Amino acid sequence: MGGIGQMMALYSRLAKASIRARMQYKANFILTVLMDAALFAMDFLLIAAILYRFDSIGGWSVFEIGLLYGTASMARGVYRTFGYELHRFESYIAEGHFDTLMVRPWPTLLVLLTRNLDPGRLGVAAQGGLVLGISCHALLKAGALSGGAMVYIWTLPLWGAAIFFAISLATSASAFWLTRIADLQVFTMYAPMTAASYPLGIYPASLRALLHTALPVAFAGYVPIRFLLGKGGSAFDLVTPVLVAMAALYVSYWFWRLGESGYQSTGS
Amino acid sequence: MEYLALEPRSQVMIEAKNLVKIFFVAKRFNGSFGAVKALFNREAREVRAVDDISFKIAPGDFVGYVGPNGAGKSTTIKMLAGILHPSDGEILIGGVSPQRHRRQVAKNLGVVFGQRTQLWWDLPVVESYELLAAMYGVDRERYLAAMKRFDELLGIGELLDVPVRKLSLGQRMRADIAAALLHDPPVLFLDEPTIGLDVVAKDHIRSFLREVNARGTTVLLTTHDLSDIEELCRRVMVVNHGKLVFDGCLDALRAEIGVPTQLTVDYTQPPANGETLSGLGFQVVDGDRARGPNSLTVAFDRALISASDAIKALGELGEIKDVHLTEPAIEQMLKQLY
Amino acid sequence: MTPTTLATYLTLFRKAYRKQLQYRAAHMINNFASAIFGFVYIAIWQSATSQGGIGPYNAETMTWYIACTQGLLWITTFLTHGLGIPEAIRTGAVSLEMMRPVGFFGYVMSREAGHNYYNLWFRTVPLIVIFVATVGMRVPAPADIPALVIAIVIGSYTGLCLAYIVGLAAFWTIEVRWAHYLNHTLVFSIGGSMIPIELLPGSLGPLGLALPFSSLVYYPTRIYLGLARFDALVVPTVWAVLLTVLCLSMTRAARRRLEVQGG
Repeated sequence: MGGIGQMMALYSRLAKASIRARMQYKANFILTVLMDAALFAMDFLLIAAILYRFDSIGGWSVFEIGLLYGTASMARGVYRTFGYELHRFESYIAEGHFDTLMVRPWPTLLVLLTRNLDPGRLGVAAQGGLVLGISCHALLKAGALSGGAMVYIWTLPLWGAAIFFAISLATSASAFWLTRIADLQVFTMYAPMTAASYPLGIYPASLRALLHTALPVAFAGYVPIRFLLGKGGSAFDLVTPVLVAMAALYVSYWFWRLGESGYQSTGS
Repeated sequence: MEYLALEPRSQVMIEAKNLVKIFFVAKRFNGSFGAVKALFNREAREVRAVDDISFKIAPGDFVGYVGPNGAGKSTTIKMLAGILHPSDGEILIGGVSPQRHRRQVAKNLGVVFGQRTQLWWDLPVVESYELLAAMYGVDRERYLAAMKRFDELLGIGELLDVPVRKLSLGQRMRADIAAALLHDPPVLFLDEPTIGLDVVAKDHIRSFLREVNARGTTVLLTTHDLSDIEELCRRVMVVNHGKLVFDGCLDALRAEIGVPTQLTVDYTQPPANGETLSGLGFQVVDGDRARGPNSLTVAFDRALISASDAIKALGELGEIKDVHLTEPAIEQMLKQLY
Repeated sequence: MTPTTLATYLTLFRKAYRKQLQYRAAHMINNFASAIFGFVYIAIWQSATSQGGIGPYNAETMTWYIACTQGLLWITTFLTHGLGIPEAIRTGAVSLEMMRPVGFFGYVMSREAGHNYYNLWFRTVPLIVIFVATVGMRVPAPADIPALVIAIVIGSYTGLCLAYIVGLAAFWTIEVRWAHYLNHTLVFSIGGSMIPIELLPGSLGPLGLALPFSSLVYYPTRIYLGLARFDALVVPTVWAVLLTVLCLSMTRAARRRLEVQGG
């Protein structure tokens, strides 16, 4: 389908243009990226500081948590980079810009995504990659992880980003009815993305259940990694990230289209 | 994605059949839990934004869609573009329904919203054009030809490197119109494109639109500025309260209501008696007492008397200090239409 | 300070408070989402200390610790970005604000203090209520309460000063998001919001205890837990004074820069 190739070309053009525009204020851009990354790195260092004094958190050691933390950070960074405009969808409904998306010969979601990127967020992804890399190295050396497991783990951020994206898509689609969704996003995005960085086993049952169902971030890292570390679960857990990502995207996109056709009948 | 040509059937490019659009305006609740209260109370009143409108537009036509605010103009354009679904009725653009085939119709459509830009806000203008070219599958040759054309007619060249957010309203409008025409669509919709612009900018844009139409593009322009219509459209559709109250050529509209222009002249001293003016086709307007005894206001039909002739005639009555020309507001005009 | 200046400060305070009131419904709902962060960190500490604590910090006290810092963050750290100064610079409104007869520092601070006061009742208190209802919180000893109140006031003031400094930096660098993030990073790490400062490894502990970030949530929480009283007010008071001096001199420098640069 020529469409996909065209979309990729468009996207890479957008990426280059976005970066060029931001590099106009080079010093500030770099500083902001570094600070953003530092903020996230700091969260992990705090866990490391806790584990400096205490043995484990829920039976997970510092590098084991590093696997969770790293994959979640990478997924988060990738999602925030490419899903930038989706994350800010609220203004399209509140200020009536959604019309401009509808006059293009493409699905509105695609038009939305190609309006902007936030390459600065890749700093968070890079920081996550660093944490993940260090943790993998340490666990490999200690024999707790096989090489194959390590390769598999590096593919997780892609599915994690897809799951975050799906949750964001459903949340943003709610804007068709609620208009303002910034507060909802704290519930559906910020809190779960943070919670996914640590072993879900330590959370109260209700929170755990939520993160395995309506906001399935558990499958972005925790579920497969728990199995790979021999802490529970089954081999099936290794395919759950893909399955959950696909299902979540399907459902969310259906919800988006529902909101879109509602918009077309009521106009706002 | 190829550029699909639409086949206009029997000389009709745009066809609207018995269009109706009903909005339900829900009762609003104030206070902290307004949104929750609204969910439980479904009282709503019916608003017919578009009430049985039908028309046919031939290829190459330049049609003006006029009406006061809230008359249903924007709603109609949105339905034509596939943004809104009509409550009843049908639309065909080049024989294709924008409701059923939004994306296919969109390939052949250029849309300009007066209040909102479609350009990429943080990027230089040229990037928007390149992105749009990629999006619509415009090859390099056609792209360069289009850019050259836009520079000659709209002066786009000087704007290319400026980030969109730094453009003035007039500049942004020029850039937006060029963007809408980049893929050379056979149909162009403009929703209030000259709103808020100064006279020079309006002029620039109007001459460009004339060029565009001369090349064969079908243009539908909504506005509530009558001079836009005078300058550009051969055909006018007047809409009020969701109904089409006039559909015909501009001359016919002029004949029905005369399209009177008002000219106010301030003299250095009280002018001579204006009785002679009525014989020449002027109508003295009495209501302007506030300007004082040194000024005189007349109404006349610009189709019969040019502005310079009018000023000359009024100059006979005394030494002119200042001249003001006002166009009739659309509301006044419409009142005369009933 | 003249009576009219004080009256102006109070008016700004009240206006800012009222302006926030319109969002209270959304914020109340938002508080439940914020609480989730608290639950995450509490869960981390409860599992870390499941085999025993260190010093006064065990599963129970760390639960109270996190609940307390999470509440206090809303009146010390989660403030308007740069106290609204970068935005005022961007729109040009800052020239007007600097022209007012009341000092710019007082103007901005009283306005944001009003916002903070709103946050106290509609963010901090509801959060505390949620934590009390879910994980339980210790009631502070009556003897500790005066010191606690003073510590919270100083902490809030210090937080405002730090945000003010971040905001003023916009006079020189325009984009200050990085400084905003840096401020948050420091509060979360050596400011003791996530981990008691003395548990930080190496010399970070002593360093953190001496820096102004500790005034925001750490020292007030120590008093709340009954681990300190008026001794926990020494460092915060010193920093409050130092930061005030810094803010005032930076304001003078910013005003000079504005006069040179224009609008």
